[in-house]
Amino acid sequence: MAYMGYDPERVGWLRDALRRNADTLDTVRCNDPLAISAIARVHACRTSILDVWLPVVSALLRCDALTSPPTLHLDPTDLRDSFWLSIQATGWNVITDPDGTTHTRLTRAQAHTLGETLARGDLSAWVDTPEELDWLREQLQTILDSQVLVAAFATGVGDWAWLFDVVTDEWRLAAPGRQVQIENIIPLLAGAYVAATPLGPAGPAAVWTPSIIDVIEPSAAALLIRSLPATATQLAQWCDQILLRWTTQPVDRTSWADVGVPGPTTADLLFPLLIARSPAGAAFLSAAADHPQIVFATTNDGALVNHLLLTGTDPSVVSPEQAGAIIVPMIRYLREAEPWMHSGVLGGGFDAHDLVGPLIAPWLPFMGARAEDWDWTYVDGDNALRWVLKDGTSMDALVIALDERQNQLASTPMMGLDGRINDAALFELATMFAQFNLAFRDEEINDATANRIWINLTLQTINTVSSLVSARATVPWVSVASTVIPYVANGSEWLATNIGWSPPDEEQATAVAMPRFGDRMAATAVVAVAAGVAQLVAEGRLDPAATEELHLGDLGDLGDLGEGCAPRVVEERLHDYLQTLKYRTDPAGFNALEAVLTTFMNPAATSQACR
Amino acid sequence: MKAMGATQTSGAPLRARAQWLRSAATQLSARDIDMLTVRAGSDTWVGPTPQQCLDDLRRISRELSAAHDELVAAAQRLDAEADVIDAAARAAAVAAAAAERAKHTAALS
Repeated sequence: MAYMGYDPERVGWLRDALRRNADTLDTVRCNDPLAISAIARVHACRTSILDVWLPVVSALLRCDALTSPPTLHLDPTDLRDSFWLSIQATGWNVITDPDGTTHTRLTRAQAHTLGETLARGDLSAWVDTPEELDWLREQLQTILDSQVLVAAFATGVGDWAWLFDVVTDEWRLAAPGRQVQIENIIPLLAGAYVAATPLGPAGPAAVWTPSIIDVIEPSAAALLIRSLPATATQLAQWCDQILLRWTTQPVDRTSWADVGVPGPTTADLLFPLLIARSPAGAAFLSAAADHPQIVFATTNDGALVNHLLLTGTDPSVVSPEQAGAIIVPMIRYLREAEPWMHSGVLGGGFDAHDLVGPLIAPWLPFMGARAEDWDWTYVDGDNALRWVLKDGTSMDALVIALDERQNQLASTPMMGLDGRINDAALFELATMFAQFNLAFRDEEINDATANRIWINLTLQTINTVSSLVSARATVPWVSVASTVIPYVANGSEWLATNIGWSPPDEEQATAVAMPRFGDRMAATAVVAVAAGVAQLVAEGRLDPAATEELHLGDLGDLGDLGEGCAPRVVEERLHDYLQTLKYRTDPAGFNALEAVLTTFMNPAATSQACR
Repeated sequence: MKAMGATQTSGAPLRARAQWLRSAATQLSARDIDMLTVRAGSDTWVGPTPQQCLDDLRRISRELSAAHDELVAAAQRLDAEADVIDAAARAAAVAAAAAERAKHTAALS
């Protein structure tokens, strides 16, 4: 139903003006042939005024003079009636409009009243039906199309902070369907806020912050910034600011509105924004490195935190230095927070250990060989690694993360086009092996999970070594898997039967243990050399017969090796084996094989293992 | 439209018509139709009918502006034609005077 509101006195002025204009137009006369068209227009206009609008206005006033207009029942809790109620309160008459079909444009007064009504606070009463919310959304969309209406609406709102807080309260308490409706309205309110508020310097380099986020509830600020256009840097800064505030006690109340109540926390609202934009996630984590509690103590959703950590430290997004600046303080925080950060603690939603395995999986060299690049020591990195390995959950997570990364392991060029070996990468890999090996030994880790880690690393070795000896700069994992693994698995039975190594089959991995430090060292070296040989053969740089010439089957079980320490015996065999290949392949290929053997198994290492 | 007869020798009648057209235009420009649209605005009444009224009054205002411009343009055209006629008449008069002088000079000599 459409209403008409009018001020009787002003309508009287309008009637007088209509009459006066009609009279004026009646005096416009000219019989000149050149004036025929213009005068016809004038008369048509006069007819409109005289015959159409003057009667309408006169009838309105006549009715008003003779009988009081029928009292309309306006709902004092219906937002759609709020404007009519407000003008009724100022002495206007409100009646049913005879023309209920015309779509009316929003006036400044209506926009102002709408803002005023919303900011008055009792939102749950004003918009308690879906129809009212839909109507509000339409009105806000109309307002956003006009700067004049935005200004009128903003003047009506006055206190934006209050409005955002009450809308957020309403959203928090709403049922899911209603919550969606309110979520559709918040961006429109945010748009009006942005349009009506000077926010700061413009331009791509400008970093401005809507000051209101320091005033309103953090959860309201989260809902607000979800709708604001922002660069990755801005988004990260706003999230950091809001969550840091969330972790402090509010000044005028016991706790923030989203604490201890059902529904998402402020972090639950913000983290998805950061996850969706990985540069923002990285920038946020970099800032949060100074106060990691905003990452770990603001939500109970461990999957969300995990996702954020992985997004913000993804090697495709951050450099190793940037990753270190994030991960090192995060690990330190988690190690300190471990006693209370687990699902068994009241309010705790996840374990500290759950997060670390996947977090470090892409960056294992920086836990050891490249620790200095992360501005911590080998000991620091090693301690952190052992902290991860000691916990079954985190080790599982590390294994899963390593599994997921297998396809990405061949991306490091191991040999330049000039044939020079990337010995640093090889050294890193060997150091990583040794580090894990020592950790497994020292921590007495001897179970299926450890074995799976070992196999993961072994696969990485195959891949790296294949890349090292390849004529190409890098070797896609698919080609390595199809050429090297079958050779290693089928052509060298000793791997599976005598040493216990097998291709990455999970059932085998959980069934076969890798019990001894020396055995693992020997197995790694054999796998590495065999992989290198297989790659040379696959590339036609070495005759296939070479794959049959490495004889280790006579050694039997390395653990029961009668003739000496397993690593030493295997090293000698491998050394002799390589000598037989020296003049059967190109110098670069041979040098690469020697480098592999020296890296994974050299006299110093075997002496330590056989001590 | 052609002004009057092609044989007119004075622009005065055209100027008189132009003046008449201008008078009508001046009456139109003196209208307070713009004030009317203010009177019919949301300070007075709101709703579908008031909005229709306001829209129509704005249309009327545009129509009257167009009528005013049309009258002024017609007047300008008439003035221009009158100028041409007066110029031609002056040129003819000058030519006639010159001819008369020449004739007189010839008679004297």
